[in-house]
Amino acid sequence: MAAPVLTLHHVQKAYQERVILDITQLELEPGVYWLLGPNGAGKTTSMKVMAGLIPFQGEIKVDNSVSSRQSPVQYRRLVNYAEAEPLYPGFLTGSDLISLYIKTKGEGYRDMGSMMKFMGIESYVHQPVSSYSSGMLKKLSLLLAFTGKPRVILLDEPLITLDTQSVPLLYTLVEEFHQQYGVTFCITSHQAVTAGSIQLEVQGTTIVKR
Amino acid sequence: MALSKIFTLRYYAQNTGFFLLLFYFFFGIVPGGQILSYHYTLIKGFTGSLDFLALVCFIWLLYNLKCMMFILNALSAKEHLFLYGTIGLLEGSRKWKTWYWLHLTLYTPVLVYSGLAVLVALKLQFYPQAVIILLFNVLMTIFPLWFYDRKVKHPGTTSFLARWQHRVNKTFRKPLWLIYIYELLNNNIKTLAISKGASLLVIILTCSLMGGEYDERYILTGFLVCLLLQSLIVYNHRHFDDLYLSLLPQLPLALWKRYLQMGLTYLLLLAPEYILLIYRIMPAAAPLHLLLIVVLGVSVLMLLRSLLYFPGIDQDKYFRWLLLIIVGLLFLTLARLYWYGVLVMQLSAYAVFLSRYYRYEAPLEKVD
Repeated sequence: MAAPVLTLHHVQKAYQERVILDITQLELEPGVYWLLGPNGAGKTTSMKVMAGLIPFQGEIKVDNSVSSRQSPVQYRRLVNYAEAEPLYPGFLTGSDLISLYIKTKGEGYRDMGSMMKFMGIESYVHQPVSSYSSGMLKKLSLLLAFTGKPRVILLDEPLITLDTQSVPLLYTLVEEFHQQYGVTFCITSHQAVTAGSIQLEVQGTTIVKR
Repeated sequence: MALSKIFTLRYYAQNTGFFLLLFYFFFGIVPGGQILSYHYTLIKGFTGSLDFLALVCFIWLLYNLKCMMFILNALSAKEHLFLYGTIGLLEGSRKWKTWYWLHLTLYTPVLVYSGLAVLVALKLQFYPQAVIILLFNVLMTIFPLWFYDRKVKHPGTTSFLARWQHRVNKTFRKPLWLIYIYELLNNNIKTLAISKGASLLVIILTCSLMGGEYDERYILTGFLVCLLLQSLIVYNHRHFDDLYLSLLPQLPLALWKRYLQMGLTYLLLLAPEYILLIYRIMPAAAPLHLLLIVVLGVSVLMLLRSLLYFPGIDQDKYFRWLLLIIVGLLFLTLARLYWYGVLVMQLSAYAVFLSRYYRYEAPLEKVD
């Protein structure tokens, strides 16, 4: 069995008194994971915790060495995240955001120009995001998750608002990044998942492999 | 008549709140018997000082831009498409007269007040100032006409501003520390203009009332009032970050870099105050005092922003902290212990930022 890429150890997240997440131990080996669960199960909270976006108790490590608590900067370099419903300041352009991500996360596995072309966003990337439709915004946020050289990419509901032509493109990117660069994916979705992928499920306050 | 309904009446109806507030500041805060003397003193003040007059002209320019934007936006509205086939057919002097009259009806409040200012200036024999006000207002009523005419002649085309903005967007990438300034300029221009206008007025008054001898404590006290006026902008900064920049904590940036970026944002935010203050006190103030003012201003705003990373800091608690900080600094200023104040502000701000940044959770945060 391969060494785990992401290890969650005694992770707990609570809002006021209510415990949303309580994971004693979860190890994700390299792969493409689909996180399933009904609305309100805590999928987005789990993703945000894994992305280091919200505070939590416990520890998450990448490759058993980079800790979210001890090395927050390095951790964020290795874990990328795309929100389910991205929201950015309307006056920023797509290129502003891409530039910010490249500046902080570094050069990626693939050239950004070719990725933009592949996703079909190069025609509007210089426009302010206030002029984007929800689908265009979604594509941009997904593209941002592929910047840098992450070990793990978390995609929260990547299929919503995406047009039917773009869904296969996303699957191609996920496959390519996993096969060629060894990136592990954790994806939440309400839709049917691809064959051969590993399924995770939020059960109560914990996440289990199915 | 139709044009009055479309432009003039709608303008005043939409801006009732704005004019009520203006009316209150002009006539409501002064006892009835002192209104004339109050305005006479005010006009005497800005016609007697070129700096003050420049500030007043700037405010009039902002008002003029507001009028202009209203007319241009009204012309762009779908329901006013018929105007292109009506006003757009006018030629020569009829066309210019129509536009001039339309703009004048919106710009009238400034014209009335500036007319009175010219009369007072002439009475006080401030002839150059009277000419400046006169020429300024002639210019204000004439230059918008070109934009109206151009808009009607080229319906549906993107404005010069939009094209320029697109060109800038293609070449310039907005750095992190500039994002909140952009937000203020784009979506919170009123708050920014009010706080900056009030702040600049405080600086002018402080410098004018100081008298001949330079006293840094006097200047710093005035500057503390300016910082107080920026507090709402700092408070809104958290809301903006929570709502639109939830991606920021996910970026692999060292905390000291994030802290520095915040400092740069506030340095830029306070730039108008710094420029005016330094311009006014430059010959008398020592370079170290100028540095003190710059560092103090940034430090106070950084501490205020850092405090907002504590959980449960609502507006009420925030303003209590603000008053505590300002009063504390006031005492240190009076005792000439300003540098200690700066040191305490910076150390506390950095310590709070370091300990709270990753532990902060937006109050808007919802469970999936």
